[in-house]
Amino acid sequence: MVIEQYTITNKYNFPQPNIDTILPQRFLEQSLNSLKQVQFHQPFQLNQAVQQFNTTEIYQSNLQLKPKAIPLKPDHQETIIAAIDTSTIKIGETTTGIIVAVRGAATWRQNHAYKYTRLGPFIFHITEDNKNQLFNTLEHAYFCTTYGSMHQASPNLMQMPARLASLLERWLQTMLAKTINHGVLLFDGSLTAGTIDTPTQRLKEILNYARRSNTTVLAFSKATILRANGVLITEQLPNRDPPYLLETTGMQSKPPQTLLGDVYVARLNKANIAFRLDIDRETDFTQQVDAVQKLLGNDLYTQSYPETLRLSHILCTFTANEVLAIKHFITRKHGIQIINRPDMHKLLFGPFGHKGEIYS
Amino acid sequence: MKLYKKEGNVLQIISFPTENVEKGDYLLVEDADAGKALIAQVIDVQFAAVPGVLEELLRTLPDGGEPLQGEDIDPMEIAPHITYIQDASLLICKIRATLENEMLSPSSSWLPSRSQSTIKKLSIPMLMKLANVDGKLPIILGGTKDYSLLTIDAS
Repeated sequence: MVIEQYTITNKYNFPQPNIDTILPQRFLEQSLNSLKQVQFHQPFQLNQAVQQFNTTEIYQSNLQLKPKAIPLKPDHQETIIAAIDTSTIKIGETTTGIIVAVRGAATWRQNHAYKYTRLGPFIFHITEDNKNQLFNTLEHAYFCTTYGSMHQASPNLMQMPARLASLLERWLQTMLAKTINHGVLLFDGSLTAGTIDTPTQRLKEILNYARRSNTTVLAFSKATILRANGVLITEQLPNRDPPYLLETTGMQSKPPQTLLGDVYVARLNKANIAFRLDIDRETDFTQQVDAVQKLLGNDLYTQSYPETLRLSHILCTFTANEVLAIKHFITRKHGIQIINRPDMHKLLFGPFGHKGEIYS
Repeated sequence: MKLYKKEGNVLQIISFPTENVEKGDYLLVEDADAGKALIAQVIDVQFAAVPGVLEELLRTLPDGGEPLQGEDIDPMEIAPHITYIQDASLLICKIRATLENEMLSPSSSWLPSRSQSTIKKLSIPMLMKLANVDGKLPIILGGTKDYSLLTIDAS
């Protein structure tokens, strides 16, 4: 399929622009293709609750937290700190499927200034009929050379937005892992592979690219379910001044999940908040600690969370204004009529009928 | 333009950037099913309360007040739609008359359909014609902002 009216720029403003654009081009093609499959004037239901998707992970573990903290000292040696995040939102439903938007952002701090590249939004009409073709086309667009023989289970319709966002996120991570030298790369989430969104081989390859560029990957989880002795690991902070790391031992993943990172608890400033931090386990301990110290010396912190990662999240998150604009776009450009079906939760339960909001 | 609210003799109308409506303009709010129209004058132009605008503005200034430098790759060209929504304005209008069977009356007691009404700008010459002030002895008072003459009838 040839798209004449839309093109992706050949080079992105990443720290070192040496990027191929196959995946974003396929995203665009599949997006337009899926929107064309919506029948003219097909009823379209407004989404009743803005929902952003997330995945959880479950471990079998004899997890313990080493009581002795690893003290950290900010290393101000000029180092690029880069972060990636993606976001997806369900815009509404049609009689045959769902309309979703996906966007990704890469942010980096260089020469004391933050810069970003934001990719999207890409809008998809996903149906039972097109979901496999859509996902496989995108999957093969970038990852086929390595994973052509490895067919993943078909995602169900409601998993598709998260799967599309995950694909875009892995692509952005790959691009930055390939292009940043001697830097620190921040991921949102953990370094657990073997999940439906993160095939082990794919994450291994991203970590390999980073290692070859002497870049260390640090993955921050905003929330964790990991407990040691029944207490969340991020709530067992020693009585000492930050910044410091707490090392964990005894982590075991439930097959087919694999842990590709060593798991720490990081408290980076005086805010009494700590995060689970996964650091590529193929890098030696000294380099792991060095990477966190470079992060400390080169980034800012709000509530103990790296600003670069926070900006990535903020930049890719969809605001209500953007959701309205996307609805305006699909109505004007693709002739999809918006109707408001009654919200059964509100209809039945009145003011108690709120559906929960989940943010990634 | 879309009719948003009516409170007493004040109408609130949502207007989009391409529609170029200013304070002082007259609007014709026509409900074809009712066979009537309201003539309203814009007395104030405000920003429409679009949800998410505050977040939108805040995230462009997170770096110590300096605009964040970056590149937006927007292949589907959604950005113009975002600014279109973001720049929507709320027109506060005073109802001046009701037009029914080509006759003006000072009533504002009926409610036009919010979904079916059409709203368009009313030029001053058309307004004068509706008000029957295009008589045979016009006295020119001056010009209007759409470059037509403002007259009263001395006949």
